[in-house]
Order: sequence, then C-alpha cells, then structure tokens
Amino acid sequence: MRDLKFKIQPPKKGDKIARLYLAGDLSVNNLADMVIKFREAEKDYDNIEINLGEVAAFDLATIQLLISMKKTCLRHKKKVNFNIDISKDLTKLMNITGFSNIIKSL
Amino acid sequence: MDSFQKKFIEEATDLINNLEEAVLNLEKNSTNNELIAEVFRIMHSLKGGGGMFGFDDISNFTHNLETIYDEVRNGKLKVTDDLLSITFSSVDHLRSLLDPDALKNKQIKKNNDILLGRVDSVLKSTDSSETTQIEEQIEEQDKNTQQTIYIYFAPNESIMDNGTNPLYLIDELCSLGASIVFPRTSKVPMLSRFNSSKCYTAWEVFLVTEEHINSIHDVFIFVEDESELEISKIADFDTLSNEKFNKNIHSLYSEKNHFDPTVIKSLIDEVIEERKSKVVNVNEKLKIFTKENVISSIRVSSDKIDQLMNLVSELVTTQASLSLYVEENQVHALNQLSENIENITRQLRDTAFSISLIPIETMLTRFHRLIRDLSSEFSKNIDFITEGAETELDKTLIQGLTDPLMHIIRNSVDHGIEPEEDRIKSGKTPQGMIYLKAFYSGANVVIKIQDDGRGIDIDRVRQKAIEKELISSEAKYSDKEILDLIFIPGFSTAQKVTDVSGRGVGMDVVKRKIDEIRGTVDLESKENVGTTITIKLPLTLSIIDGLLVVIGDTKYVLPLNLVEKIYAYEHNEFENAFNNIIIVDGEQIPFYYLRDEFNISGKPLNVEQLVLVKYEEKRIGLVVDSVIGEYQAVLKPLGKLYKNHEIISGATILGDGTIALVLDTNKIINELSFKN
Repeated sequence: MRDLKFKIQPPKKGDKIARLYLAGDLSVNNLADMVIKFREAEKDYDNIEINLGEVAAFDLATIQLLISMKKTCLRHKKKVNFNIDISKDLTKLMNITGFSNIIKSL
Repeated sequence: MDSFQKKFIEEATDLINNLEEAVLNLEKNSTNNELIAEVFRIMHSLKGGGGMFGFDDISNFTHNLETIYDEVRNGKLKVTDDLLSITFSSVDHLRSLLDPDALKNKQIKKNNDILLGRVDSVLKSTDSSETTQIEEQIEEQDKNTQQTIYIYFAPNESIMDNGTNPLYLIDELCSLGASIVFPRTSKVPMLSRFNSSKCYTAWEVFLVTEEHINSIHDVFIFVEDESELEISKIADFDTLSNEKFNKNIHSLYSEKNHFDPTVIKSLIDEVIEERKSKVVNVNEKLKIFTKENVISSIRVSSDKIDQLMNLVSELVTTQASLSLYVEENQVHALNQLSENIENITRQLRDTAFSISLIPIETMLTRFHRLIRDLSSEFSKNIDFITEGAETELDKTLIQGLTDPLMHIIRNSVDHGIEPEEDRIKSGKTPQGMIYLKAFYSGANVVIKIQDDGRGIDIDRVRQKAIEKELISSEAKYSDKEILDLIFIPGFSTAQKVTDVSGRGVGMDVVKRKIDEIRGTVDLESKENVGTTITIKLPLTLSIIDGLLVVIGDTKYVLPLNLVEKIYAYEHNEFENAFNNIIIVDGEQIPFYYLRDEFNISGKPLNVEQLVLVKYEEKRIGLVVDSVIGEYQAVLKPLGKLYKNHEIISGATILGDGTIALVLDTNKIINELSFKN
C-alpha cells in the first residue's frame, strides 16, 4: 500500500483556484484529515480543483467524500472540478459497483 | 481478551442460542427449507466470526458441520435423528468452546474429537448412490433456470468500522451472474456533517443468475443482521437481456430515489406480455417485494441499561425534592415547570422500564431443550406447549426466574409425567404434556406451569411430614396445607435421588428464589390429573407508583396499582367493629388496623383512613392515620437486617430526605390473616 500524499497548493497571485493534489491509497483509515482540508478549501475558496491523477486506490469512503464535496460546492454555488484518472482495476470495480457514471458526473 | 473478542463472545452466545432454537424447530419440521437455511447461516456466521476474532477452535469445529447443512440445504442430505443428535451435542460443545482455552481441558478435547468423528461419518455418507441420485435430479431441475433477482442492500452506517468494504460485497454479488447496479447516494451529507467512517450509500441490484437464492444470502452473511437487506426473485427468466426493461430501469433510476416495487412489477408484466406475444410458453410467477430485515433493534449492554435505570431512579428522587420545595415554598413561577418535569420524568421512567423488559421467550428455548433431553433420558414422550411467550418481564426477574422454572420443569418430567405404558393404563394419552403459560394480571405477570402427570401423592407428603416431625399425626390439615409443606427446606418425597431432582433442595429453593424477586408461588395438584404451579411476579423491581401514607411518625408506601378506594372513618368505628369487619358501600369489608398490627404507640387520630386494597379476588381494608398522596417510589433494598421482614419490599427516599418503607400489601394480608 502506498502512503497517502496530500497537499493543497495555495492560489497563485490573482488566481482564485485552490488546487488539491491527492496521491497514494485513499481509504476510510486515512480520510479524516482530508475531510478537514476539504472543509477548509470549500470555506476559503470559490473555485476548487481536486486532482486524483496519482491516486492508486480508493474505497467507498473516498467516493462518498467526493460526492459530499460536490454537493456542498453546488449548494454554496462554488465551482469544483475533479481530475480523476484511475487504474484499470479500479475502473472495473467502479463499473461493477455502479459508480462509474457518478464519478464521471463529478 | 480484547474488546473485539468479548464482543464476539456476546454475539456468538446469541448465535448459539438461536442455533439451538432453530434445531429444536427443525426437529419438529425437518423439511422446512427456511429452518435448514437458518441453521446453515448461523453456523457460517460462527465459523467466520470465530476465524476472524481468533476463536479458531470454533471455526474449525463448525467448518464440517456447516458443510453438512450446506449439503442438507442443497438436498444432498436429509435431516435425520442422528444428525439432529449430533447438532444438539455440537450446540452444547460450542458453548464450551467460547472459552478460548477450552480444548486444554481433556474432557472437552475428547468430546471435541468424538463429535468431529461423528460429523465426518455423516459427511462420508453423502457419497452413497442415493445421494448421487438426488444430486442428479436437482442438477436436472436447475438446468436452464435463469432468474432475475432484485437486491436492496443498505449497509449499517458503521459497516466500515470493522474493516468491511461494501464495494467488495457488491463485486462478489455481481460475480454470480449478469447485473445492473444502482448505487443510491442521496444520504451522503454536506461536508459540514460528513463523517468519513460512515457508510451513507445503499445499492439496488438487478441480478440475473442461475444460482440458488441462498448463494446471494451467503454474500451478505456477515453483514445481514446489521444491514437492511431485501432479496426478491422478481422473474423466473432473464429480464436484463430485454432492451426495453433495461432502458426503463435506467430512466427510473435517475427519476426516483428508490425503485418502486409496483412499478418494477408492471415493467416485468410488460416483458412477460412481450414474451407471450412471441408465442413463448412462459409461466412466470412474480413475487411481490417485501421489506424484510429492516433494522429494528440494536444491541445495548445490560450494564448501560442498569446505569440508565439508576439515573432514572435518581431523577425520580430529585424530582420529588423539587416538587416538595415548590409546594412548601409556594413558588408559583416554578409550579408549571415542576409539573412538566414530573410528567417528563414519568414518561422517561416508563420508557426506561420498557427497555429493560425482555420477553420470556428468551428463556423458553432452554426449557424446550431440557424437556427434549430429559424425555429421551427417561424414555418419556412429552410435548411442551407454551403460551404467552411474548409476555415481557424485567431482565433481572428473568435472570432470577430461570433456575426455579428449570427445577419445576425437571420435577414435572422426572416425577410428574408417567412413562407411556403407565399413562395408557390410567386412560391417558401416551404423550404427556407440560404447559407453560405466561400472562399479565394487573401489575403482575403470572406464569403457570401445568403438567398432566400423576400429580402429588398427598398421603405420602403427609406421611413424610409426620416422619420428619414437621406436623403431628393427630393434627388435621387441608390438602392445600399439606401441599404447601413441600416448600419447607429439606422436604423431598422422591424415593430415589436422580440427577434431575429429588436432592432435597428442590421446592424450598424454588420458593426462596421466587421470594427474592418479590414473587409468590402457589401449588395445586390432583392425583392422576396433574400438578399446576403458579408463579406471580411484579412487573418490575426498581420503581413503583405508590400511595404515601402515615402511621404514627412513620411514612409508608403502598403499591398504587393495588389500591382501589380510600375512605375516611371515625376512629370509634374501627374500635367498635365486630371481628374487624366494617361496612363500606353496603359491603362487609375485613380490615387490618395497621397501627396495632405494627405495634405503633401513641394516640390515634379522631379520623383515620381506610385504604381498600385488592387481594386475590377480594377487597381488604388497611387502616392508616392519614394519606399524603401519590408517590413514585424508587425501591432501595433494606439490607440483611430486614431480610426476614417479608412484608416490607424495600425503602424509598422521600423528597425531604426522610425514608418511607414500601409495604407489600399481599404479604401483609397473608401474614396477618395467618396470625389472626
């Protein structure tokens, strides 16, 4: 299992987008801190980009967090974009468990 | 032992109890597929849980037993007496394996090996030609039996706490055939309320499979009890290959939050019509969706319930102090508030009580088992019938009641019910009957245990009592009085001591145990007709609604549920009453003048109160100085010093910090009527 890597890149000058980079294995065991960071990002920025390109694996808790983030941003009329590029195995699991469309729509 | 292991022992104990109950039912109905599946599921859970929490002995032991029931489930083996006997022995053995070091005990290890050998021999017998034939028939039947199953799976919010990943369950489910999966994420909350360890997602799955419905249940076997799970066959054919059905369910998914069963049924009807129109001979049977396995209960440790009851008791006492303060100080602003708190406290008290009540059926399984085993041991044919199993009692009472009931039932089997040939000679049915009935009677629960056996030989009891010098040979006693001698310590008429009863520590212990939980026990018996034992118990032990009264300087509480009316009378009327009888509303009422009976000195009041209480079917008067009013009494034990004062149930602390004694009116009347 790869360690979770997580960082928020603060917006550049004149840039109002907060970019959140996630890498490694995301699971229910290491999400609590990420929830706090997501809350902070959602509170402080109007435009958020979440990049999951380096994520090796994630579980249901992660999917729920992404959905929650999306819901919250929609409610508060903030923009959130997800950049998700997951492995073949993960894509297969998402297809089987019915999440592929939900992830695409994020 | 870590907390997970302790939790497993709790759950495994429940599972073993459920297994015992299921096997008892299976013995009566050996072809019931649901019972067979239940036995299998419980074994599977025990095996899985045992392995997961380090109880490998349980896991290893149940492995082959589970395989047997899988074979039974699949029609490859039949439920035989031998198999049931092995299973019953296994139930007992599993209980001992809950101790992780059990197999270090030579006797348990030996038993373990013997049982495993018996299990092996049953498994080996499945190779017979008969089994192969059955197997072939089943395989033939299973050919071309594709069906569409609808599964609704809403895991418990805490499912991920123990490491379960619901995604893998769905993955495993989908490996059983072709599927369409619809996750429902509407319950995922906003970030502010989001808890990463909770599962907010539910799934609806349409699965086309040739597998038996049991295989679907097996996927969820470890989470079924804690999840909302619905598995329904919706068609006896593949619906997912129908393009229209496929399209329709996808559009329904985006419109609704849950598939409406009636809509699904109509969609399937459409498919059936379409198939019919293609001149396909179909005979699809549709099953209406049913909501099952909805979580309706949670497990709470009895310590927490005790703690809750203690807090409620404290609250009741504190609330009484508040009411008294408001009343004494005439603080009008607090009046309404105090009344509201009183109401809420009362409701809270009742709710807390209801939480600690459990149905008596929780102890009935062991009685069924006891009678089954003893019947076999004594070669007697006995039917055990129960009624009112849903009757609820305080958990403390249930704990205190199990041993006495066990002893009564043992006595019935050992001494009461005759062997078949004796029964036939007496003109009775060959099968004996033990009947246990529970019901509410006012604020009491009554449990009757009746058998149609030989009854108690009253002459022998009398003879024995004379021999033991409990009564004199000249004195005349009624049959009832003679029967009551059975409750005297050390009295036993059994001609031989058996493992079951007749050790001389029988009915006196029963009576003592029932007394300890403030109950009464009554015995009736008729020779060659049978014996009936009636146990009367209070609904609860800790708080009662009472009537606060005063005699002399002392306050007492009478149980309010037994109080009928209160009348004021001049002292002279009691003094001049003939034979302690007074006329109330044209009716002669016997009364007891408690000031005298309790030896309370001092001058009586001019006007005193006659409290009419219910006693059996009669009304009896108890005379007190004055009545203060209703009072919620939190019963506190009085300790060893008052152990022999049966007329006092306990004490309660009043709002002003003083103590009132809680009286047991039934016992007062019993004792005074005997004395007078």
